[in-house]
Amino acid sequence: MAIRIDSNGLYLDGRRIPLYSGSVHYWRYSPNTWPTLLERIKELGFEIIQSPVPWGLHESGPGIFDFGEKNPQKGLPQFLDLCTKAGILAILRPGPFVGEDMPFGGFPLRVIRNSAVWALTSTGAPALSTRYATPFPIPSYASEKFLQEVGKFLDALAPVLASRQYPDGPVILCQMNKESAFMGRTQAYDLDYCTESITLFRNFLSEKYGAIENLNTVYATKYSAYSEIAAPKRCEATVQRDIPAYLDWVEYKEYLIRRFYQRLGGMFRDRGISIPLSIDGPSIFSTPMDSIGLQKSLEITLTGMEVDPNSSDYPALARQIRYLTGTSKLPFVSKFGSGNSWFAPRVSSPHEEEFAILSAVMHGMTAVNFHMLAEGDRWVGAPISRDGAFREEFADLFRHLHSFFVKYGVWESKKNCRTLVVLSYELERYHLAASTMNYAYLGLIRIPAVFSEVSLPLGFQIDPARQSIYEEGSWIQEACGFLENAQVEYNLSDSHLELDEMTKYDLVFLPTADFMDLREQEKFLEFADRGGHLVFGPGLPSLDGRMNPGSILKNAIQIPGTQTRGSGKITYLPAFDAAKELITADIPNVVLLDNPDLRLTIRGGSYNLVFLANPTTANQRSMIISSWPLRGVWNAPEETQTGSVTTEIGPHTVQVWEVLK
Amino acid sequence: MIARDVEIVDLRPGIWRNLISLMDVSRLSDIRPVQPNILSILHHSGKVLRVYAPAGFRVPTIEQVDDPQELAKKLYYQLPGLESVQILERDSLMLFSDQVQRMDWMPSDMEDFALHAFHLAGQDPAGLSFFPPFSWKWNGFPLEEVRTWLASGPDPCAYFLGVVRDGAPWLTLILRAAEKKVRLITTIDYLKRFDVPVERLPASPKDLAVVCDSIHAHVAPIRAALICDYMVFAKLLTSEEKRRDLMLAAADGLASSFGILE
Repeated sequence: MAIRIDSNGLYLDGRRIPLYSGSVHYWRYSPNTWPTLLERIKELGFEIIQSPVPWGLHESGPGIFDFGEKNPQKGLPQFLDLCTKAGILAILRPGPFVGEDMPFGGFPLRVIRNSAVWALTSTGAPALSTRYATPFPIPSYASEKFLQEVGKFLDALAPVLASRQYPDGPVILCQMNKESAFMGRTQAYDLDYCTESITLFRNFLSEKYGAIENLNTVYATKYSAYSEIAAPKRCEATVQRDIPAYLDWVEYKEYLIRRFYQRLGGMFRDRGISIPLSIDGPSIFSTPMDSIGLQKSLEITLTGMEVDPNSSDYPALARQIRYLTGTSKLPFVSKFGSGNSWFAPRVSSPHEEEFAILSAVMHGMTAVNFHMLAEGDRWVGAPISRDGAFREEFADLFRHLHSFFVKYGVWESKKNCRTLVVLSYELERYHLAASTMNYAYLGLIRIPAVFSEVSLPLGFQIDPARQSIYEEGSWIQEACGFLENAQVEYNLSDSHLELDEMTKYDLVFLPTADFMDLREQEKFLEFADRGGHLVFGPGLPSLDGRMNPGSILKNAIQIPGTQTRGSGKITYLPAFDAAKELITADIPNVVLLDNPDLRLTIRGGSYNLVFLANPTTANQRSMIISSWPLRGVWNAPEETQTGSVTTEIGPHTVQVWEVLK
Repeated sequence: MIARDVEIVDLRPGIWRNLISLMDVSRLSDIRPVQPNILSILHHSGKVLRVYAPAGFRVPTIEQVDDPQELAKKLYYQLPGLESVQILERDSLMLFSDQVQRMDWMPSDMEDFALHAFHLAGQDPAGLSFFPPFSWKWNGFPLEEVRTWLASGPDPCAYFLGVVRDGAPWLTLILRAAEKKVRLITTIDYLKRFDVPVERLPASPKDLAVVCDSIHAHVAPIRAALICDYMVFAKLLTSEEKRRDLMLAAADGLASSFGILE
């Protein structure tokens, strides 16, 4: 294949090029302005553009499509040919869902009004999306009718796209859909209860358990066929043995998403679209998205993530990027706002935008698409305005960033990171399962989120519902806090990570409770056997994932502390009070700081760069202790300094220092 | 109030940033504060399932809900400082959720949709009790009054808000309404496409009024405009006597308006 994407980046005919692009939505502008906009984008250092291809915009009548034949502004072929002429590559986002503040999310009304495509709530109502410009029913991932309709759109689009794929044309990547998890409605008992989904749920159970007797053994039930099984509509578990049925429903939704994208990917392939396909992961961690599982499939090359550049919420941004870096083949932020939506709670200044972008880079972002680089409607703060003029204060930022990225080979470098924090799918599933209600009314009448939790006194030593990454005070949050306070950079991943990937890290933190799949337990112990250091807690599992007695971890270690195992170590750490004594020896820092409010990472490549972030709102001062001389290359003094360097750093600022080895 | 296909363009970043910053000052769009000061009680057939109190409020132990409306009122007065008390019956919530999602979504913009949902919530006072009764406010004015006022204007018409600070335009919001809905939201940068030299605008409230002619010519006849100095504007946002303050500012040459006081 002429195009390849791996952990090192994007390769065209074997030549690595940065996956560094900016959005220009052709359909928002008069075709007369397209050449100017493309020229401006190039002037800012971009050689790749990205654009959605909204289905509802191109479908001018039932089954009738306009790609510029009637309305030149819809001229996708002409736009792509202009890209070729300008020497610009393209990423397309043909949906079927594109969002972009379009009525009905960009779906044709004709399609979305058909009840046969709707995802249904547990009460049988259409699940309405209320996050976009207009309310509309969320399509079901299980709906064959919906996929048929998508097929018609792809039939019309394929001739335009297939002949313009690289190397014959500029299109190098096709990003499917947006909001890859039920448009944000991820609560366990909210969706999807349409007939086709329930059928798929039963198929999923059948694939998982085989003979119905196997399921009956786990569920303690007496079903004679899978067709008798109803999907749970709220959590009513009273004993531990009830739990697997609820966990299965949550797991099914991962299956539903995976299946949908595999089908959708296959539809692209069937129509001659052979370039890499990606999907856009939502800003959530683990279930119901299975980012790692999706990338194992043949159809999905890459999962990206959307990031809102909010400088005042550095911890959230850092967490998102760490998760992306720990789970995606290539840490690609598919939508990084260059500016803000018109109704965003704040409009970023160029300085704030710089802070957000460099914060993402320091935590591992290695490929990026800047959303609305050329301003569309409903947007504020793009570096290129609608008429093709530069908005200089923002354009300058992108010019400087581009020079910096090129000069120091930032996109070819990788974050130095030897520590991993793993989310447990089982615990995250339990967290979702131990709930009731749905979000439809939570937002509308401001119901506290805790009302959606159910209390399950099931006799666990450790309450699994409190061990989600979303839970304040959970072990995994404590692990992240411990590492951040020690100024040790880490990645976040999930328990679907393959052992071979895990062994790229020295130290792995894993949250545990009373139950854990035995194969998972074996996998993590194998990590220690191969020389890693596994730190787990707060629970010592004594049950398997189906609530049967069984523990492998417990057989390996019974009391809090550290033991050697194989070539590595395991530490059972019920609480973080003792963490410092047990594990600091394993997390050496090459460069040290004496200010705990600052954050530091290192990216290595042709250059070794130290990124130092001040996420606070006050000026900070710190000593940087390095074995090698340092020289400031961004927001820092350019003179070479050796030994201990004292630096001052402004609020919401990232400094970059080159390590002169 | 805002049409589903509203055009939102040419938002000058600095000016839009100022407008957004006003949200905190004036509660311009205070429909859902980030941390609502709301006491919420969830019950099922009278048996209390959950109580959620905002930080700093000590709520008496409640195990049973017999008369939710009366209890909401009693707690509201018993715990000064609460924004409201809501007592919600679990099955009523489920029903409300179901009914909201069965509403006619096709012709709605999000604002219409949310208003209908709130009306729906008000139709089950035994199951969904709010005290004080829920009212959606927009900068202190009931939203429905604002919608009515907007819908009563000439068709089409424009609205202009211009605020000058330190000798430069600090806020310039232009709206165009037609067929009872806002169809365009923009700032003075919109006028650049008509060769209006917005970069060189005069910098006093009186002088900024010249932009009204361009708005009239290129957007729509202006129905209401307020052009003033920042200090006047900041005071107006929280003033109880907006009319009086505006007239005083006008007399001092710090504000000019039309369509506002009439």
